[in-house]
Amino acid sequence: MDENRRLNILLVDDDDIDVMNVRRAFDKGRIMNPLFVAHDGEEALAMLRGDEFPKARRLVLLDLNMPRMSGIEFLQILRDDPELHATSVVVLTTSDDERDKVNAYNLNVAGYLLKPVTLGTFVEVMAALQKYWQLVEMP
Amino acid sequence: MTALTPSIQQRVDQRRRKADMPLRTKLSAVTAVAVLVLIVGSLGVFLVNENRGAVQLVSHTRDVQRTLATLLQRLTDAETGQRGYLLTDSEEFLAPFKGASEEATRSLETLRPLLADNASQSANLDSLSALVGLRLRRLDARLVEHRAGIPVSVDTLREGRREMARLRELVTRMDSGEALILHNRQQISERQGWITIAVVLPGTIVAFALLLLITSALKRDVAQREAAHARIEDQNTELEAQSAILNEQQIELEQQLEEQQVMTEELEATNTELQRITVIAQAEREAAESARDQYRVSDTRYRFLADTIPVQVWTAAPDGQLDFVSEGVAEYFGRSREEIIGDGWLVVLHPDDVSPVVERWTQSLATGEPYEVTFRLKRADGEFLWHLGRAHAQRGDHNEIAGWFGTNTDIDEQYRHLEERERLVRSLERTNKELDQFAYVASHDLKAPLRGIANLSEWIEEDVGEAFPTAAREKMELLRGRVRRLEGLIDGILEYSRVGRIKNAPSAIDVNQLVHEVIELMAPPAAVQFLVAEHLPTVFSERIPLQQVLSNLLGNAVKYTRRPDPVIQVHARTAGAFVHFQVTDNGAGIAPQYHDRIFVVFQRLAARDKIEGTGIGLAIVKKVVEARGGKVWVESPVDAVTGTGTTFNFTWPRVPGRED
Repeated sequence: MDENRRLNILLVDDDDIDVMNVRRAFDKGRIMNPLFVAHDGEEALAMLRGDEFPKARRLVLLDLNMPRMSGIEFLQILRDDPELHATSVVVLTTSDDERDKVNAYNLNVAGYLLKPVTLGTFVEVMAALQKYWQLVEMP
Repeated sequence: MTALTPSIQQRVDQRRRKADMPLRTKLSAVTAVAVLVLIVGSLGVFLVNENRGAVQLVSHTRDVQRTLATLLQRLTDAETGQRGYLLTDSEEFLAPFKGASEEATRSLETLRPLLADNASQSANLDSLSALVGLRLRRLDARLVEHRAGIPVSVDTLREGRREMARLRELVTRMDSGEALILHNRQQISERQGWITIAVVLPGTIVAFALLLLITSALKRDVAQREAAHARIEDQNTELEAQSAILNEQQIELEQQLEEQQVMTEELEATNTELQRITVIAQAEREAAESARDQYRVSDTRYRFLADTIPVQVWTAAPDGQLDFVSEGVAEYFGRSREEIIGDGWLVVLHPDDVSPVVERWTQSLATGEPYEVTFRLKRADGEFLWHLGRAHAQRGDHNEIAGWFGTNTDIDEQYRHLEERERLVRSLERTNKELDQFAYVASHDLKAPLRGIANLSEWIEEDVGEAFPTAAREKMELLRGRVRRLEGLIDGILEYSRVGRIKNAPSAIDVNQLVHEVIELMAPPAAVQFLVAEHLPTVFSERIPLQQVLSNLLGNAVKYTRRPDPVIQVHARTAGAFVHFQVTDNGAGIAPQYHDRIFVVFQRLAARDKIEGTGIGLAIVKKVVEARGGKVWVESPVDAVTGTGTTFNFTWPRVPGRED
């Protein structure tokens, strides 16, 4: 895979099993992208502002229900930040509540994915996501 | 104009007539003077004309005398010229002779018309003319004799002298005759001049004197008239002012008169009325005597009623002024009836209620509309209690407002109940919202570990791989089945809690179309036969809830009709304000004792292991239908012979109604 087009993914999720789920889906789908993990909004912001996480071609996979700082709060801060406001974010959550969807899209998320319980379908979702972002041109 | 003005006018006219009388005399005098001047002038003209004739005659006489003198001179000249020629034979003397004789002849011709009017003088002229002609002929004859050389005789000379003498004498006579005529005529002319003077001068003097007299008289008159006029003007102004004042006074008088008349009429009317009333009163008194007893009974009853019913009763005059309050009012406020009637309601109203009450009451007073308003009244102990105030206008014989009959009903308890109810409803709404939020968060938090368990079980199987025993693998499968069931329950609870929370705008729904859509979405097994009635009605409603109800009922029918040839029928017909839906299957049927139970949440009739289900579907149907005022019930068995089949009935409003 072309190094320059490689997507740098930050997974923001407090549930270790969910993180493991994503990792396994990546392995199964042979997705080689580096996966960075933050366990809540505050940690995610710190990583986005720090040097550890590459600056180019960033994608945030965001859970909404998290302790300390929820996904929606994280999005609000992100969109107000002059450095980070253009960051691409895809919501990956178990919540299919209408209010969460409306709030998320109002904060310019690039997508809203529901976490299926079974692994098989989740692998397909992750593969589709990775494929899609390979095609997308980013600033 | 008033009646006074004509008499003033008359007096003014009389004044004017007095002033006119001497003026007329004066005018006659002026005419007389004019006539006199005319006479004197005419006479003068006549006399002057006469005198001019006399003067002409005088000059005529002078002309005759002058011509006579000239004639005599020319004759002498002719003699002198002839003698000169005779003496000298010089021709130069002959010319004067010729001229003189011609002139003498012309002078005679001049005299002829001048003397034509005088007979004696005309005769003299004839003689003179003959003499002159003779003399001139003799002179001519001598000249001819001289040229012929005949000497002059003495006789001839003598005769010549005699003829000249006679000529001179005749001329002198004529001259003196003319002078006499002249003298006479001058005398006549002079006399005429005197007559003229004698006539014209006194006439003129008299006329002038008369004119002077008239002028001075006129001047005096004019002065008098001007003065009189000024006086009249003043008097006029004064009179007008007085007239205006009189006018006003008259109008006032007329008004006073009218008022007096009106008063008189009123008095008369009042008198008549009084008499009538007296008569009526008499009759009434008599009637009242008998009615009074009855009235006393009715009034007492009325008072009793007003004083005993647990409502404040009051009456007011048409202008709103209280004139009666019941005993209950006095008791409530702890004041005397008189005090309450005197002070009115405003002093006992809660300050916040004063303005709406006054507004409503004012409106009713103006229009006669019934009055109804709620307000707080201050009880004797100082506590404000809610009351419902009502009043109706009592109409008189001519539909005029004769008074107001009102009540104040203590609704404090109801009002407080209402307030309490509203508070409870608000509190319930808040609780519902909290509950909804709780259900959502709880379901999410409950599902997260379930998902973890399911994932981990799969990963364990994957990680162990082929070495995993089959028995253990089956147990893993059971584990995940339970996870799915719990997840289904959680979803069901969440769905149930959301019923009625999300509201969509209603639209016209073709039920036929909706039923077919629901069937397609379910993707039922091929064996299932659907019989959907044709021409299902159209409803105006939210689409999603109706779809959900139909979907649950049809889904249940498919799921629980456990036979190889399932037949599911769908009917819908209009029933009043609702549409009555029926979903019928040919399944085993439901025993009557379970007909209520099946609509209760989590209640199931089949074992979970046989038919997977959450026990929430029908509960949701019931909740959705009843939230819209509809009903849901079940009928089973449908087939009396086989004792099988179930029909689920529900009604759905044709248009959105009031929701409970």
